[in-house]
Amino acid sequence: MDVPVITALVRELFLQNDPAIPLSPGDDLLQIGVCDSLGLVQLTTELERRLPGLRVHDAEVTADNLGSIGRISEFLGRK
Amino acid sequence: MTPAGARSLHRLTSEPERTVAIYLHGGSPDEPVAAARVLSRASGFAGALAGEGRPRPAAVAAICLYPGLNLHAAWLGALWAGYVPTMIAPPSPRMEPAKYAAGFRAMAGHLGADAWVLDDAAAGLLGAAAGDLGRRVLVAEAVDDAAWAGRTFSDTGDLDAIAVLQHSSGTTGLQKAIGLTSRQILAHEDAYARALDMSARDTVVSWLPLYHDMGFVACFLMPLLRGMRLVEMSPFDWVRQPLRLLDAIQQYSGTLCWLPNFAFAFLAGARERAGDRGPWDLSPIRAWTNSSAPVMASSVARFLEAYADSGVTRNQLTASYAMAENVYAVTQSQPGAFREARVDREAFSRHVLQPDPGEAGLALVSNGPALETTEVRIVTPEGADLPEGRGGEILLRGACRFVGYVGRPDLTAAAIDGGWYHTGDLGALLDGELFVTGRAKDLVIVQGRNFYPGDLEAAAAEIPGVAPGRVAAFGVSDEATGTEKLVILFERDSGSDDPESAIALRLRAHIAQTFNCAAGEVRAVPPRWLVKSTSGKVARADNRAKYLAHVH
Repeated sequence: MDVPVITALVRELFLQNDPAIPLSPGDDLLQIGVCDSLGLVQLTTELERRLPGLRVHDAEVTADNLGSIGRISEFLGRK
Repeated sequence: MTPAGARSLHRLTSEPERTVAIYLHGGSPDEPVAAARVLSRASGFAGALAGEGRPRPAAVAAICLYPGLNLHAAWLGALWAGYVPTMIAPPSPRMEPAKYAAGFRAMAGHLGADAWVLDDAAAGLLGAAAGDLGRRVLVAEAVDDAAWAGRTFSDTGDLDAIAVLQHSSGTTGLQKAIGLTSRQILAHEDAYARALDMSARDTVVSWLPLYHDMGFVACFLMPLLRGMRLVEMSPFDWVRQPLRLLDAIQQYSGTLCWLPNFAFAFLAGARERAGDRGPWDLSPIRAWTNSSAPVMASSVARFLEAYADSGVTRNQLTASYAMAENVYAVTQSQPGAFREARVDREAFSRHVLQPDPGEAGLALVSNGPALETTEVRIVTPEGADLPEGRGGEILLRGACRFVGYVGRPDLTAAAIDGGWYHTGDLGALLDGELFVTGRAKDLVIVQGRNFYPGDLEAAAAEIPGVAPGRVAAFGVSDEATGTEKLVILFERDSGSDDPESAIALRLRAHIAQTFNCAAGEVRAVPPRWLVKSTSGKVARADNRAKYLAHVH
């Protein structure tokens, strides 16, 4: 899943699909208030739904792995 | 030390070998702690806090630590040393350092605490500013267990002196400190223990934060005073690994578990996600207590279905209506008596609870009958009593009701009238049970944490590009998550050239940094879209209705 697709997913889940809100891959999603840690869990659920075969363990749902669009992309690349 | 302090001390000294708590840490082995160890550690904190002399009367000690032995021991040590202890939410270390320090200073200024207990990390982030928080500032890791050696604790016997403080707002809005006396705390302990038949045979399993009444009273004070064993994990660890709570209940045969409504939906979702985990043996649980206003039937139903194979039954479900102003519980339903009522939707909109057993009816959950120490009344906005089945504001009085907001006689006078505390919540009585249906006051509750719209709107107004006085913050119920979504609407300042989306993002970041809360929706609305009252204030309820009708 590449950066534009993840960005669109983040907008859909947390930003009411507003395309105008500026988001860059390095933005810390928790620090800028796009979502909280429960939001990361919600995001994981959605990723697992859209990417059949993806399994994310609860312990992997961290800001280190999923805290920005760039990190999500890298994390999915590693999985 | 107050009589409440003496009771807690007696519990620990009378059974030194007993396991008081088991702390679950992320990534390291569980840590069982005996009463003797808590006693020794808490005595160390008492000594370090007392220093050479006694604290001045009613001096507040702010305990700002992450979950674990030090948090419990520091709070107890402060209580025994004669301070009025209070649990404070540690600010999010994710904040920028300057904001972190500024937020901390503002909180300290509000609270006026004489003593502070911080951890190494917080003291490090604050640097030299840590010393200015109060007269005595301790770093928990540096406190020596022997600091109290050779001294004794004495009970003042004064049941009516303020023993502890709670805060009506979860984190930052410290404007309302609720003082509770030993008399109120001990009356609550007695009545609440009877309502759920709590005893030393019970094990409470919790992830709840202690700076909030549910975690502090149900999952710390009650176990401490009743001799129940406590198994505790941090909220941070729980959000990342929600199923660990169930592992702990199975492993330690947990019997009591308090959860806010959203946690029932969240745990159900966690099981649905991790299809290969479980089942668990959750049959030792006597009561899952959903302590929320209101309790959502849909969240509870999802939880029951997700864990039916693990021994979770309807008979284990209970509900409570609780608030710091009544120490904690106002009502509590009994195991085996979890009650739902279906009512006519149209009649409900007129504040009438009219039974409608059909599918079209609105499902309401009973919060149970009032504790024996508490009386509940339902009244009209004019203060006239309403009969059963009619909705109005919930008023309460009794042996657990707080005396007032510390240092704020104005707020106290507005809240307590003729002995009755006006809760600002809406509800109705049916067959002697209270159904909490909503709120009269503009409070937003996100994942069990309370936020005052005025605080949120004031913070939003600090953002360049937001038109002064043209912000509305309110909560909107979300069935999927079982909690409220925080919505902030603003109008752009006519003098600003920034795009609305950039202002919205700045506003989000500021709310996250200031309140440690992610807004569900931040949206710019056209000029003069927001409705104002005749007095010129933004009318939140009207704007909420307009949002639901036109934007949502």
